[in-house]
Amino acid sequence: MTLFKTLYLDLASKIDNGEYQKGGVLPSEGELQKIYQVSRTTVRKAVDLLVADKKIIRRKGIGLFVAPSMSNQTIFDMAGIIKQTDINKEYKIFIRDIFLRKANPFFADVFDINDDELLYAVSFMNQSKTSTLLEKLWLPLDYFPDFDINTLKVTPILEVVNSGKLDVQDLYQDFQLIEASEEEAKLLDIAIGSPLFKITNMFSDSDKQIIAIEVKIQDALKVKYTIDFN
Amino acid sequence: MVEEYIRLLIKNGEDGQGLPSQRDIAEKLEVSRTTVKSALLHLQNEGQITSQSRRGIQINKKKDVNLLSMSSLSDELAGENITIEHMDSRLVSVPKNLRDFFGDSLKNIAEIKRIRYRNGVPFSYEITNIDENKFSDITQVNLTNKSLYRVLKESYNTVPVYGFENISATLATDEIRMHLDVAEKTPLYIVESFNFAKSDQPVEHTVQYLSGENFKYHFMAKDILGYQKEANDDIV
Repeated sequence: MTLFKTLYLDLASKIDNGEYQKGGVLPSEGELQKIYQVSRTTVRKAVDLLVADKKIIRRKGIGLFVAPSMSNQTIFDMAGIIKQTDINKEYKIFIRDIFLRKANPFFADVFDINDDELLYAVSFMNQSKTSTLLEKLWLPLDYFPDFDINTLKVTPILEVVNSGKLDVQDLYQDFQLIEASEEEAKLLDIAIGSPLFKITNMFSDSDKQIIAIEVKIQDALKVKYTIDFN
Repeated sequence: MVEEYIRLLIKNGEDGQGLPSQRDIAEKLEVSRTTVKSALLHLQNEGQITSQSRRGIQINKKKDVNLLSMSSLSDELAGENITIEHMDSRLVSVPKNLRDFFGDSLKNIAEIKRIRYRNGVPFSYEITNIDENKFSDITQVNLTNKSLYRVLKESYNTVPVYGFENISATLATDEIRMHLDVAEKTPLYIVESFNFAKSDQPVEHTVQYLSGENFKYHFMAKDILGYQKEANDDIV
């Protein structure tokens, strides 16, 4: 068997059996060369094949990722969910910060967990040519013991939230018009007090337990949302 | 942390309820008043609290509307002293952006303008377009305090079965702000809905302008990944 085929099969099996998490980051092409002791061309051929198989995606300047199950298009096609009218294929995720912190009374109340249980609090930005989205995500550690922040770079939030210990069943979306605070105005490059849309997504499982919360904020005058219903 | 403390007070409180003073909150949480002030400002930007000099800080619970339903806004707010003022109904030429929806052959369309009030305060200004060929004399119907959907059902035996909505925002223009009695450039929701009856028949198109200060919307999607689970069950 040719070298690149061996490499291809090895990577494919690691992806299929979950050793490389969906949406997770893979060693870079340079690192793969070293690990497998093969040439750059061999690595490139194997990766090209995996990309063609839709098992891997290449993100220029960021790295190689295992392809997530869901694409933004899948989500866009779901009825009953509010979604941005022109989803951008070309976007970049910038992680601003991530903390593992105590739930404290407010989130303890919202998630129905104890005050001192731990929670991932992630703050990030989704930037495309046409719009900027400020996002926050709260994930109780208990439900997401293996949370890998890199998956946020390529994986739709719905899939990230569904990759924890519990399966997502329902989504409650809260939609508000608010005024930009000083911090938000700075990040979105708009005037303080400008209108923003704030969408709060609460994901819950079959026991009606909220398992994750996502907040999205963007310039209200620049974006349009659509929802289908029947 | 201060913000979360106040959010919890808001969550458990009622509309119009006063919050503890800045000083009391600062003392209780052992933080500076500046910190408390900053948190309050952020929550005010979100419309969660209002600050009036004499009354102090009050919780503002925005009216929460479930838009994922075929009921009109009037059904949603039933029993809340909602009145509908029917301003005008007339025939106009079909706007360019609606030619696809209503069909190319249509030349003129009925345009119905209404304002909804809650306790005498205007909160929604809406413009509905509907085909008078299909719904004859609809421009003659008096829609004061009447749900259009009820009229469609009872007088025309038509019930919309599906549709979609676009939600965006704008700053109040002169005409709209006059109807909604808001300051110039107040941010408003624009909810544009397209509704269809069976066999893809277009029923009506409505553009609705709503105050952001008073409303928030929610959508509940159940069993969103149901189709995936079914697919996986087959693969065993």
